[in-house]
Amino acid sequence: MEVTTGLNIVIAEDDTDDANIIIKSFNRHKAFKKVTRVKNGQELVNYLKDNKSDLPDIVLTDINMPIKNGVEALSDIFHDSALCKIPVFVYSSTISPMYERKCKELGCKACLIKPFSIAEFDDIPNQIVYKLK
Amino acid sequence: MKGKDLNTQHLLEENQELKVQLMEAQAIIDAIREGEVDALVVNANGHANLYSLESADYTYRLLIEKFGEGALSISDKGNVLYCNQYFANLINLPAHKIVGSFFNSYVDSVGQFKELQDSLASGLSKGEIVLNVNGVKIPVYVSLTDLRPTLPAIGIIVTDLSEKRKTEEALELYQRKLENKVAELNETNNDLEQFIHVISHDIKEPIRKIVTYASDLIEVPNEPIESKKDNLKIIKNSALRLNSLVDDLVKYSMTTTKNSEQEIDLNEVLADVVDDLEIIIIERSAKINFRDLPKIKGSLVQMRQLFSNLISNSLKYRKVKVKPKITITATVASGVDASFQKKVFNKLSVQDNGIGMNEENIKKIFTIFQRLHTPEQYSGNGIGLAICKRIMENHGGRIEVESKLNEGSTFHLYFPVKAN
Repeated sequence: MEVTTGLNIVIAEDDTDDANIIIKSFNRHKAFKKVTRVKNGQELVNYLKDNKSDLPDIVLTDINMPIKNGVEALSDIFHDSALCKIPVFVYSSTISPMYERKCKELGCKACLIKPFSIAEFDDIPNQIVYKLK
Repeated sequence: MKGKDLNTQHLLEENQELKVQLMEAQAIIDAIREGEVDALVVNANGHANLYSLESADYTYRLLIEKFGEGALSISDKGNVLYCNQYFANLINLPAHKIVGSFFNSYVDSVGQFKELQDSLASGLSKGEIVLNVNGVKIPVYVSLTDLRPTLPAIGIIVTDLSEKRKTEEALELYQRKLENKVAELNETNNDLEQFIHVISHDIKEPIRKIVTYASDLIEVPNEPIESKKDNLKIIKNSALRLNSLVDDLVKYSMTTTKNSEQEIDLNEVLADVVDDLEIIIIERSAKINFRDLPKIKGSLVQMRQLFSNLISNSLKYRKVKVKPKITITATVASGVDASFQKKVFNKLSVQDNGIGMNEENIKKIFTIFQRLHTPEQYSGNGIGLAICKRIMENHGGRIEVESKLNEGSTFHLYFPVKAN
Protein backbone atom coordinates (compact mmCIF):
# COMPACT_ATOMS: atom_id res chain seq x y z
CA MET A 1 0.00 0.00 0.00
CA GLU A 2 1.25 3.41 -0.98
CA VAL A 3 1.87 5.70 1.98
CA THR A 4 1.56 9.44 1.45
CA THR A 5 4.11 11.52 3.33
CA GLY A 6 5.80 14.91 3.30
CA LEU A 7 2.75 16.92 2.27
CA ASN A 8 2.81 20.71 2.39
CA ILE A 9 -0.54 22.36 3.18
CA VAL A 10 -1.69 25.99 3.41
CA ILE A 11 -4.80 26.66 5.51
CA ALA A 12 -6.84 29.88 5.19
CA GLU A 13 -8.74 30.41 8.46
CA ASP A 14 -9.70 33.75 10.01
CA ASP A 15 -10.85 32.30 13.34
CA THR A 16 -7.93 31.82 15.73
CA ASP A 17 -9.66 29.13 17.83
CA ASP A 18 -10.50 27.02 14.79
CA ALA A 19 -7.05 27.63 13.34
CA ASN A 20 -5.40 26.33 16.54
CA ILE A 21 -7.39 23.10 16.41
CA ILE A 22 -6.99 22.42 12.72
CA ILE A 23 -3.26 23.18 12.69
CA LYS A 24 -2.75 20.73 15.58
CA SER A 25 -4.77 18.08 13.73
CA PHE A 26 -2.56 18.40 10.65
CA ASN A 27 0.65 18.51 12.68
CA ARG A 28 -0.36 15.28 14.43
CA HIS A 29 -1.01 13.56 11.09
CA LYS A 30 1.91 11.60 9.69
CA ALA A 31 1.25 12.50 6.05
CA PHE A 32 1.86 16.23 6.58
CA LYS A 33 5.28 17.78 6.91
CA LYS A 34 4.57 21.51 6.63
CA VAL A 35 1.43 23.39 7.77
CA THR A 36 1.07 27.11 7.03
CA ARG A 37 -1.82 29.34 8.14
CA VAL A 38 -3.05 32.48 6.41
CA LYS A 39 -5.89 34.62 7.80
CA ASN A 40 -8.17 35.25 4.81
CA GLY A 41 -8.67 34.74 1.08
CA GLN A 42 -6.56 37.72 0.12
CA GLU A 43 -3.61 36.47 2.19
CA LEU A 44 -4.05 33.03 0.65
CA VAL A 45 -3.86 34.30 -2.93
CA ASN A 46 -0.92 36.56 -2.06
CA TYR A 47 0.89 33.66 -0.40
CA LEU A 48 0.45 31.40 -3.41
CA LYS A 49 1.59 34.09 -5.86
CA ASP A 50 4.66 34.79 -3.71
CA ASN A 51 5.58 31.10 -3.52
CA LYS A 52 5.15 29.95 -7.10
CA SER A 53 8.50 28.16 -7.00
CA ASP A 54 7.48 26.22 -3.90
CA LEU A 55 3.72 25.77 -4.13
CA PRO A 56 1.89 23.73 -1.45
CA ASP A 57 0.55 20.27 -2.28
CA ILE A 58 -2.89 21.15 -0.87
CA VAL A 59 -4.93 24.23 0.02
CA LEU A 60 -7.69 24.14 2.66
CA THR A 61 -9.85 27.25 2.97
CA ASP A 62 -12.72 28.43 5.15
CA ILE A 63 -15.55 30.17 3.29
CA ASN A 64 -16.65 33.10 5.48
CA MET A 65 -13.64 35.31 5.94
CA PRO A 66 -13.14 39.07 5.89
CA ILE A 67 -11.73 41.01 2.92
CA LYS A 68 -11.75 38.07 0.50
CA ASN A 69 -13.82 34.99 1.27
CA GLY A 70 -12.95 31.41 0.40
CA VAL A 71 -15.07 31.27 -2.75
CA GLU A 72 -13.52 34.45 -4.13
CA ALA A 73 -10.03 33.09 -3.39
CA LEU A 74 -11.01 29.79 -5.03
CA SER A 75 -12.05 31.71 -8.12
CA ASP A 76 -8.72 33.59 -8.25
CA ILE A 77 -6.81 30.30 -7.95
CA PHE A 78 -8.98 28.59 -10.57
CA HIS A 79 -8.35 31.38 -13.09
CA ASP A 80 -4.59 31.51 -12.54
CA SER A 81 -2.82 29.00 -14.81
CA ALA A 82 0.11 28.74 -12.41
CA LEU A 83 -2.12 27.94 -9.42
CA CYS A 84 -5.11 26.08 -10.81
CA LYS A 85 -3.46 22.67 -10.50
CA ILE A 86 -3.25 22.85 -6.69
CA PRO A 87 -5.96 20.66 -5.14
CA VAL A 88 -8.20 22.97 -3.07
CA PHE A 89 -10.50 21.83 -0.27
CA VAL A 90 -13.18 24.03 1.27
CA TYR A 91 -14.49 23.73 4.81
CA SER A 92 -17.06 25.73 6.75
CA SER A 93 -19.65 25.57 9.55
CA THR A 94 -22.43 25.37 6.96
CA ILE A 95 -22.29 25.13 3.21
CA SER A 96 -25.40 26.09 1.27
CA PRO A 97 -26.13 24.02 -1.85
CA MET A 98 -25.57 27.20 -3.87
CA TYR A 99 -22.08 27.66 -2.46
CA GLU A 100 -21.28 23.98 -2.86
CA ARG A 101 -22.24 24.14 -6.55
CA LYS A 102 -20.15 27.26 -7.02
CA CYS A 103 -17.15 25.62 -5.33
CA LYS A 104 -17.41 22.53 -7.52
CA GLU A 105 -17.60 24.72 -10.62
CA LEU A 106 -14.38 26.39 -9.50
CA GLY A 107 -12.58 23.07 -9.34
CA CYS A 108 -12.72 22.49 -5.59
CA LYS A 109 -11.92 18.86 -4.66
CA ALA A 110 -14.46 18.62 -1.84
CA CYS A 111 -16.55 20.70 0.55
CA LEU A 112 -16.11 19.61 4.18
CA ILE A 113 -18.23 20.62 7.17
CA LYS A 114 -16.46 21.90 10.28
CA PRO A 115 -17.09 19.22 12.92
CA PHE A 116 -18.45 19.53 16.46
CA SER A 117 -15.55 17.86 18.32
CA ILE A 118 -11.77 18.01 18.38
CA ALA A 119 -11.59 14.26 17.65
CA GLU A 120 -13.54 14.82 14.44
CA PHE A 121 -11.19 17.68 13.48
CA ASP A 122 -8.42 15.06 13.59
CA ASP A 123 -10.29 13.18 10.88
CA ILE A 124 -10.12 16.09 8.39
CA PRO A 125 -6.50 15.34 7.32
CA ASN A 126 -7.55 11.70 6.75
CA GLN A 127 -10.45 12.76 4.54
CA ILE A 128 -8.21 15.06 2.53
CA VAL A 129 -5.50 12.45 2.01
CA TYR A 130 -8.16 9.90 1.03
CA LYS A 131 -9.81 12.22 -1.51
CA LEU A 132 -6.44 13.23 -2.93
CA LYS A 133 -5.80 9.70 -4.23
CA MET B 1 -122.18 35.58 -87.22
CA LYS B 2 -124.13 36.41 -84.14
CA GLY B 3 -122.09 33.85 -82.28
CA LYS B 4 -118.88 35.54 -83.46
CA ASP B 5 -120.04 38.96 -82.23
CA LEU B 6 -120.94 37.46 -78.91
CA ASN B 7 -117.43 36.03 -78.60
CA THR B 8 -115.83 39.38 -79.46
CA GLN B 9 -118.09 41.11 -76.96
CA HIS B 10 -117.02 38.63 -74.25
CA LEU B 11 -113.32 39.11 -74.97
CA LEU B 12 -113.67 42.88 -74.85
CA GLU B 13 -115.41 42.67 -71.50
CA GLU B 14 -112.73 40.36 -70.16
CA ASN B 15 -110.06 42.70 -71.47
CA GLN B 16 -111.73 45.61 -69.72
CA GLU B 17 -111.89 43.63 -66.44
CA LEU B 18 -108.20 42.71 -66.65
CA LYS B 19 -107.35 46.35 -67.27
CA VAL B 20 -109.22 47.32 -64.10
CA GLN B 21 -107.46 44.57 -62.15
CA LEU B 22 -104.11 45.72 -63.48
CA MET B 23 -104.86 49.30 -62.53
CA GLU B 24 -105.90 48.20 -59.05
CA ALA B 25 -102.72 46.17 -58.66
CA GLN B 26 -100.67 49.12 -59.89
CA ALA B 27 -102.48 51.38 -57.42
CA ILE B 28 -101.71 48.92 -54.55
CA ILE B 29 -98.07 48.79 -55.53
CA ASP B 30 -97.99 52.58 -55.69
CA ALA B 31 -99.76 52.78 -52.38
CA ILE B 32 -97.24 50.35 -50.83
CA ARG B 33 -94.43 52.39 -52.34
CA GLU B 34 -95.84 55.59 -50.96
CA GLY B 35 -96.38 53.97 -47.59
CA GLU B 36 -100.12 54.45 -47.73
CA VAL B 37 -100.99 50.82 -47.21
CA ASP B 38 -100.95 49.41 -43.74
CA ALA B 39 -102.60 46.11 -44.47
CA LEU B 40 -103.89 43.87 -47.20
CA VAL B 41 -106.86 41.58 -46.97
CA VAL B 42 -106.62 38.59 -49.23
CA ASN B 43 -109.47 36.20 -49.79
CA ALA B 44 -108.23 32.65 -49.76
CA ASN B 45 -110.52 29.65 -49.77
CA GLY B 46 -113.37 31.73 -48.40
CA HIS B 47 -111.28 33.08 -45.48
CA ALA B 48 -110.02 36.62 -45.23
CA ASN B 49 -106.25 36.68 -44.47
CA LEU B 50 -104.80 39.93 -43.21
CA TYR B 51 -101.26 40.90 -44.18
CA SER B 52 -100.16 44.07 -42.45
CA LEU B 53 -96.83 45.96 -42.29
CA GLU B 54 -97.17 45.86 -38.50
CA SER B 55 -96.72 42.13 -38.58
CA ALA B 56 -94.15 41.83 -41.35
CA ASP B 57 -91.67 44.34 -42.82
CA TYR B 58 -92.33 46.97 -40.22
CA THR B 59 -90.98 44.70 -37.46
CA TYR B 60 -87.71 44.38 -39.36
CA ARG B 61 -87.51 48.10 -39.98
CA LEU B 62 -88.22 48.80 -36.32
CA LEU B 63 -85.68 46.19 -35.26
CA ILE B 64 -82.93 47.77 -37.35
CA GLU B 65 -83.89 51.26 -36.22
CA LYS B 66 -84.00 50.50 -32.47
CA PHE B 67 -81.22 47.94 -32.53
CA GLY B 68 -78.57 48.19 -29.80
CA GLU B 69 -75.95 48.01 -32.52
CA GLY B 70 -75.08 50.37 -35.35
CA ALA B 71 -76.63 49.38 -38.68
CA LEU B 72 -76.07 50.98 -42.05
CA SER B 73 -75.92 50.25 -45.70
CA ILE B 74 -73.46 51.75 -48.14
CA SER B 75 -73.50 51.86 -51.91
CA ASP B 76 -70.89 50.31 -54.20
CA LYS B 77 -69.23 53.69 -54.29
CA GLY B 78 -69.10 53.88 -50.49
CA ASN B 79 -71.88 56.45 -49.84
CA VAL B 80 -74.03 55.82 -46.81
CA LEU B 81 -77.53 54.94 -48.05
CA TYR B 82 -79.06 54.39 -44.62
CA CYS B 83 -77.93 54.48 -41.01
CA ASN B 84 -79.83 53.80 -37.80
CA GLN B 85 -80.02 56.07 -34.79
CA TYR B 86 -77.56 53.99 -32.77
CA PHE B 87 -74.83 54.56 -35.34
CA ALA B 88 -75.64 58.27 -35.49
CA ASN B 89 -75.35 58.46 -31.69
CA LEU B 90 -72.15 56.43 -31.73
CA ILE B 91 -70.32 58.86 -34.00
CA ASN B 92 -72.22 61.82 -32.54
CA LEU B 93 -73.60 63.20 -35.83
CA PRO B 94 -77.24 63.60 -36.96
CA ALA B 95 -78.40 60.72 -39.18
CA HIS B 96 -79.43 63.03 -42.06
CA LYS B 97 -75.85 64.34 -42.27
CA ILE B 98 -74.44 60.83 -42.36
CA VAL B 99 -76.67 59.65 -45.21
CA GLY B 100 -75.02 60.51 -48.50
CA SER B 101 -71.54 61.00 -47.02
CA PHE B 102 -68.70 58.57 -47.57
CA PHE B 103 -68.43 55.85 -44.93
CA ASN B 104 -64.63 55.95 -45.30
CA SER B 105 -64.62 59.50 -43.96
CA TYR B 106 -65.45 58.02 -40.54
CA VAL B 107 -62.87 55.24 -40.72
CA ASP B 108 -59.40 55.59 -39.18
CA SER B 109 -58.04 52.27 -40.42
CA VAL B 110 -59.19 52.61 -44.06
CA GLY B 111 -56.82 49.87 -45.23
CA GLN B 112 -58.32 47.37 -42.82
CA PHE B 113 -61.85 48.24 -43.92
CA LYS B 114 -60.87 47.85 -47.57
CA GLU B 115 -59.55 44.38 -46.79
CA LEU B 116 -62.86 43.47 -45.16
CA GLN B 117 -64.73 44.76 -48.22
CA ASP B 118 -62.49 42.75 -50.54
CA SER B 119 -62.98 39.55 -48.58
CA LEU B 120 -66.78 39.93 -48.95
CA ALA B 121 -66.53 38.07 -52.27
CA SER B 122 -65.76 34.90 -50.32
CA GLY B 123 -68.81 35.31 -48.04
CA LEU B 124 -69.51 37.04 -44.73
CA SER B 125 -66.77 39.41 -43.64
CA LYS B 126 -66.12 40.41 -40.02
CA GLY B 127 -63.39 42.18 -38.17
CA GLU B 128 -62.22 45.01 -35.95
CA ILE B 129 -61.60 48.49 -37.29
CA VAL B 130 -61.23 51.92 -35.73
CA LEU B 131 -63.58 54.78 -36.49
CA ASN B 132 -62.30 58.34 -36.34
CA VAL B 133 -64.86 61.14 -36.16
CA ASN B 134 -63.37 64.60 -35.69
CA GLY B 135 -60.36 63.09 -33.98
CA VAL B 136 -62.35 60.88 -31.60
CA LYS B 137 -61.28 57.30 -32.12
CA ILE B 138 -63.80 54.54 -31.57
CA PRO B 139 -62.80 50.89 -31.75
CA VAL B 140 -65.60 48.87 -33.38
CA TYR B 141 -66.35 45.40 -34.58
CA VAL B 142 -68.02 45.35 -38.03
CA SER B 143 -69.92 42.61 -39.80
CA LEU B 144 -70.40 43.12 -43.57
CA THR B 145 -73.15 41.55 -45.69
CA ASP B 146 -73.26 41.78 -49.47
CA LEU B 147 -76.79 42.82 -50.56
CA ARG B 148 -76.14 42.15 -54.25
CA PRO B 149 -77.59 41.07 -56.59
CA THR B 150 -80.86 42.31 -54.99
CA LEU B 151 -79.33 45.72 -54.23
CA PRO B 152 -76.00 47.21 -55.34
CA ALA B 153 -75.02 47.82 -51.68
CA ILE B 154 -73.34 46.45 -48.57
CA GLY B 155 -75.03 46.11 -45.17
CA ILE B 156 -72.85 46.81 -42.13
CA ILE B 157 -73.51 46.02 -38.47
CA VAL B 158 -71.28 48.05 -36.16
CA THR B 159 -70.57 46.97 -32.55
CA ASP B 160 -69.01 49.55 -30.25
CA LEU B 161 -65.91 48.09 -28.54
CA SER B 162 -65.00 51.17 -26.46
CA GLU B 163 -66.23 49.70 -23.18
CA LYS B 164 -64.78 46.31 -23.97
CA ARG B 165 -61.46 47.89 -24.85
CA LYS B 166 -61.47 49.90 -21.62
CA THR B 167 -62.10 46.72 -19.64
CA GLU B 168 -59.39 44.94 -21.58
CA GLU B 169 -56.93 47.74 -20.95
CA ALA B 170 -57.80 47.80 -17.25
CA LEU B 171 -57.30 44.05 -17.17
CA GLU B 172 -53.97 44.29 -18.94
CA LEU B 173 -52.81 46.98 -16.54
CA TYR B 174 -53.92 44.85 -13.63
CA GLN B 175 -52.12 41.87 -15.11
CA ARG B 176 -48.92 43.86 -15.54
CA LYS B 177 -49.16 45.16 -11.97
CA LEU B 178 -49.69 41.63 -10.76
CA GLU B 179 -46.69 40.37 -12.71
CA ASN B 180 -44.55 43.14 -11.23
CA LYS B 181 -45.74 42.22 -7.77
CA VAL B 182 -44.90 38.56 -8.40
CA ALA B 183 -41.43 39.51 -9.61
CA GLU B 184 -40.98 41.70 -6.53
CA LEU B 185 -42.11 38.86 -4.29
CA ASN B 186 -39.74 36.42 -5.97
CA GLU B 187 -36.91 38.86 -5.43
CA THR B 188 -37.84 39.25 -1.76
CA ASN B 189 -37.99 35.48 -1.45
CA ASN B 190 -34.54 35.12 -2.99
CA ASP B 191 -33.16 37.81 -0.70
CA LEU B 192 -34.75 36.07 2.24
CA GLU B 193 -33.31 32.71 1.24
CA GLN B 194 -29.89 34.29 0.88
CA PHE B 195 -30.33 36.03 4.22
CA ILE B 196 -31.29 32.78 5.98
CA HIS B 197 -28.22 31.02 4.55
CA VAL B 198 -26.00 33.80 5.79
CA ILE B 199 -27.49 34.16 9.26
CA SER B 200 -27.71 30.42 9.80
CA HIS B 201 -24.00 30.23 9.05
CA ASP B 202 -23.06 33.06 11.39
CA ILE B 203 -25.24 31.73 14.19
CA LYS B 204 -24.03 28.19 13.75
CA GLU B 205 -20.37 29.08 14.02
CA PRO B 206 -20.38 30.14 17.72
CA ILE B 207 -22.74 27.25 18.52
CA ARG B 208 -20.34 24.79 16.94
CA LYS B 209 -17.48 26.25 18.97
CA ILE B 210 -19.40 25.98 22.22
CA VAL B 211 -20.20 22.32 21.52
CA THR B 212 -16.65 21.52 20.38
CA TYR B 213 -14.95 22.98 23.43
CA ALA B 214 -17.56 21.74 25.88
CA SER B 215 -17.20 18.21 24.43
CA ASP B 216 -13.48 18.42 24.98
CA LEU B 217 -14.08 19.23 28.66
CA ILE B 218 -16.45 16.30 29.06
CA GLU B 219 -14.51 13.72 27.05
CA VAL B 220 -11.15 14.30 28.73
CA PRO B 221 -12.29 14.44 32.36
CA ASN B 222 -9.04 13.67 34.12
CA GLU B 223 -7.17 16.82 33.17
CA PRO B 224 -7.14 19.61 35.76
CA ILE B 225 -9.67 22.35 35.03
CA GLU B 226 -6.87 24.98 35.03
CA SER B 227 -5.41 23.50 31.84
CA LYS B 228 -8.81 23.86 30.22
CA LYS B 229 -9.36 27.50 31.08
CA ASP B 230 -8.94 28.44 27.43
CA ASN B 231 -11.88 26.17 26.53
CA LEU B 232 -14.09 28.00 28.99
CA LYS B 233 -12.95 31.37 27.70
CA ILE B 234 -13.80 30.35 24.13
CA ILE B 235 -17.18 29.02 25.21
CA LYS B 236 -17.96 32.27 27.01
CA ASN B 237 -16.84 34.43 24.07
CA SER B 238 -18.85 32.34 21.63
CA ALA B 239 -21.94 32.76 23.78
CA LEU B 240 -21.37 36.52 23.97
CA ARG B 241 -20.92 36.70 20.22
CA LEU B 242 -24.15 34.78 19.73
CA ASN B 243 -25.88 37.24 22.05
CA SER B 244 -24.63 40.34 20.23
CA LEU B 245 -25.49 38.70 16.90
CA VAL B 246 -29.10 38.26 18.02
CA ASP B 247 -29.20 41.88 19.27
CA ASP B 248 -27.95 43.15 15.91
CA LEU B 249 -30.33 40.94 13.97
CA VAL B 250 -33.24 42.37 15.95
CA LYS B 251 -32.05 45.90 15.08
CA TYR B 252 -31.68 44.93 11.45
CA SER B 253 -35.15 43.38 11.26
CA MET B 254 -36.63 46.49 12.92
CA THR B 255 -35.44 48.56 9.99
CA THR B 256 -37.37 46.53 7.42
CA THR B 257 -40.14 49.12 7.29
CA LYS B 258 -40.37 52.79 7.84
CA ASN B 259 -42.42 53.32 10.95
CA SER B 260 -44.17 56.60 11.76
CA GLU B 261 -43.01 59.45 9.54
CA GLN B 262 -42.44 62.88 11.03
CA GLU B 263 -40.47 66.03 10.43
CA ILE B 264 -37.03 65.59 11.90
CA ASP B 265 -34.39 68.21 12.60
CA LEU B 266 -31.12 66.38 11.91
CA ASN B 267 -29.23 68.87 14.13
CA GLU B 268 -31.26 67.54 17.05
CA VAL B 269 -30.68 63.93 16.00
CA LEU B 270 -26.92 64.50 15.86
CA ALA B 271 -26.94 66.22 19.25
CA ASP B 272 -28.76 63.22 20.75
CA VAL B 273 -26.38 60.73 19.15
CA VAL B 274 -23.31 62.65 20.37
CA ASP B 275 -24.88 62.68 23.81
CA ASP B 276 -25.43 58.90 23.74
CA LEU B 277 -21.85 58.26 22.66
CA GLU B 278 -20.40 60.76 25.15
CA ILE B 279 -18.28 58.27 27.11
CA ILE B 280 -16.47 56.82 24.12
CA ILE B 281 -16.09 60.28 22.52
CA ILE B 282 -14.37 61.65 25.63
CA GLU B 283 -12.31 58.47 26.05
CA ARG B 284 -10.96 58.77 22.51
CA SER B 285 -10.68 62.58 22.54
CA ALA B 286 -12.83 62.72 19.43
CA LYS B 287 -14.12 65.94 17.85
CA ILE B 288 -17.51 65.88 16.18
CA ASN B 289 -18.59 68.92 14.17
CA PHE B 290 -21.93 69.60 12.54
CA ARG B 291 -24.12 72.58 11.85
CA ASP B 292 -26.89 73.84 9.58
CA LEU B 293 -28.20 70.37 8.89
CA PRO B 294 -31.59 70.22 7.13
CA LYS B 295 -34.92 68.97 8.36
CA ILE B 296 -36.16 65.83 6.67
CA LYS B 297 -39.30 63.68 6.76
CA GLY B 298 -38.69 60.23 8.16
CA SER B 299 -38.47 57.90 11.11
CA LEU B 300 -36.81 59.42 14.18
CA VAL B 301 -35.77 56.02 15.57
CA GLN B 302 -34.13 55.08 12.29
CA MET B 303 -32.35 58.42 11.91
CA ARG B 304 -30.82 58.02 15.38
CA GLN B 305 -29.77 54.46 14.48
CA LEU B 306 -28.27 55.65 11.17
CA PHE B 307 -26.08 58.41 12.60
CA SER B 308 -25.23 56.38 15.68
CA ASN B 309 -23.91 53.56 13.47
CA LEU B 310 -21.92 55.90 11.22
CA ILE B 311 -20.31 57.83 14.08
CA SER B 312 -19.60 54.64 16.06
CA ASN B 313 -17.91 53.22 12.96
CA SER B 314 -15.74 56.31 12.54
CA LEU B 315 -14.77 56.09 16.21
CA LYS B 316 -14.05 52.38 15.91
CA TYR B 317 -11.97 52.45 12.71
CA ARG B 318 -9.79 55.32 13.88
CA LYS B 319 -6.10 55.68 13.20
CA VAL B 320 -3.71 54.75 15.99
CA LYS B 321 -2.49 57.83 17.89
CA VAL B 322 -4.68 60.19 15.85
CA LYS B 323 -7.62 61.94 17.54
CA PRO B 324 -10.77 61.08 15.62
CA LYS B 325 -12.33 64.04 13.85
CA ILE B 326 -15.78 63.62 12.36
CA THR B 327 -17.45 66.38 10.32
CA ILE B 328 -21.06 66.28 9.13
CA THR B 329 -22.01 68.75 6.40
CA ALA B 330 -25.10 69.22 4.24
CA THR B 331 -25.69 70.44 0.69
CA VAL B 332 -28.47 70.19 -1.86
CA ALA B 333 -27.75 67.95 -4.84
CA SER B 334 -29.50 67.02 -8.07
CA GLY B 335 -28.58 64.73 -10.94
CA VAL B 336 -28.06 61.98 -8.38
CA ASP B 337 -30.80 59.75 -9.71
CA ALA B 338 -29.94 58.63 -13.24
CA SER B 339 -33.58 58.16 -14.23
CA PHE B 340 -34.81 61.38 -12.56
CA GLN B 341 -32.11 63.96 -13.30
CA LYS B 342 -34.19 66.80 -11.89
CA LYS B 343 -34.93 65.09 -8.58
CA VAL B 344 -33.47 67.10 -5.71
CA PHE B 345 -31.74 65.54 -2.70
CA ASN B 346 -30.49 66.72 0.66
CA LYS B 347 -26.95 65.40 0.65
CA LEU B 348 -25.29 64.81 4.02
CA SER B 349 -21.63 63.89 4.22
CA VAL B 350 -20.08 62.24 7.25
CA GLN B 351 -16.32 62.60 6.94
CA ASP B 352 -13.71 61.03 9.22
CA ASN B 353 -9.92 60.86 9.46
CA GLY B 354 -9.83 57.13 10.20
CA ILE B 355 -8.09 54.17 8.58
CA GLY B 356 -10.17 54.26 5.38
CA MET B 357 -10.29 51.27 3.06
CA ASN B 358 -9.15 49.94 -0.28
CA GLU B 359 -11.27 50.89 -3.25
CA GLU B 360 -11.86 47.23 -4.11
CA ASN B 361 -13.52 46.65 -0.74
CA ILE B 362 -15.88 49.61 -0.96
CA LYS B 363 -18.75 47.73 -2.56
CA LYS B 364 -18.66 44.99 0.05
CA ILE B 365 -19.14 47.04 3.17
CA PHE B 366 -22.91 47.49 2.91
CA THR B 367 -23.54 43.74 2.63
CA ILE B 368 -24.72 42.08 5.82
CA PHE B 369 -22.05 40.05 7.68
CA GLN B 370 -19.39 41.23 5.28
CA ARG B 371 -16.31 42.28 7.25
CA LEU B 372 -12.94 43.70 6.29
CA HIS B 373 -11.24 42.80 9.56
CA THR B 374 -10.76 39.78 11.79
CA PRO B 375 -12.51 39.85 15.18
CA GLU B 376 -9.07 40.19 16.80
CA GLN B 377 -8.46 43.47 14.97
CA TYR B 378 -11.93 44.98 15.34
CA SER B 379 -14.95 43.36 16.97
CA GLY B 380 -18.30 43.43 15.25
CA ASN B 381 -20.85 41.37 13.35
CA GLY B 382 -20.85 43.19 10.02
CA ILE B 383 -24.43 44.41 10.38
CA GLY B 384 -24.03 48.16 11.12
CA LEU B 385 -23.62 49.46 7.57
CA ALA B 386 -26.18 46.98 6.23
CA ILE B 387 -28.63 48.64 8.64
CA CYS B 388 -27.60 52.11 7.37
CA LYS B 389 -28.18 51.05 3.77
CA ARG B 390 -31.58 49.68 4.63
CA ILE B 391 -32.60 52.84 6.51
CA MET B 392 -31.62 55.00 3.53
CA GLU B 393 -33.62 52.74 1.18
CA ASN B 394 -36.62 52.99 3.51
CA HIS B 395 -36.38 56.77 3.16
CA GLY B 396 -36.27 56.63 -0.64
CA GLY B 397 -32.62 57.62 -0.64
CA ARG B 398 -29.26 55.94 -0.68
CA ILE B 399 -25.84 55.75 0.91
CA GLU B 400 -22.48 55.90 -0.81
CA VAL B 401 -18.92 55.96 0.41
CA GLU B 402 -15.70 57.57 -0.73
CA SER B 403 -12.56 56.26 0.88
CA LYS B 404 -8.82 55.92 0.58
CA LEU B 405 -6.74 53.55 2.65
CA ASN B 406 -5.10 55.45 5.54
CA GLU B 407 -6.82 58.68 4.54
CA GLY B 408 -10.26 58.29 6.06
CA SER B 409 -13.76 57.72 4.71
CA THR B 410 -16.68 59.94 3.76
CA PHE B 411 -20.19 58.51 3.81
CA HIS B 412 -22.68 60.38 1.62
CA LEU B 413 -26.37 60.16 2.47
CA TYR B 414 -28.96 61.24 -0.09
CA PHE B 415 -32.46 62.12 1.16
CA PRO B 416 -35.01 62.94 -1.54
CA VAL B 417 -36.58 66.39 -1.09
CA LYS B 418 -40.32 65.89 -1.36
CA ALA B 419 -42.20 68.39 -3.48
CA ASN B 420 -44.99 70.02 -1.52
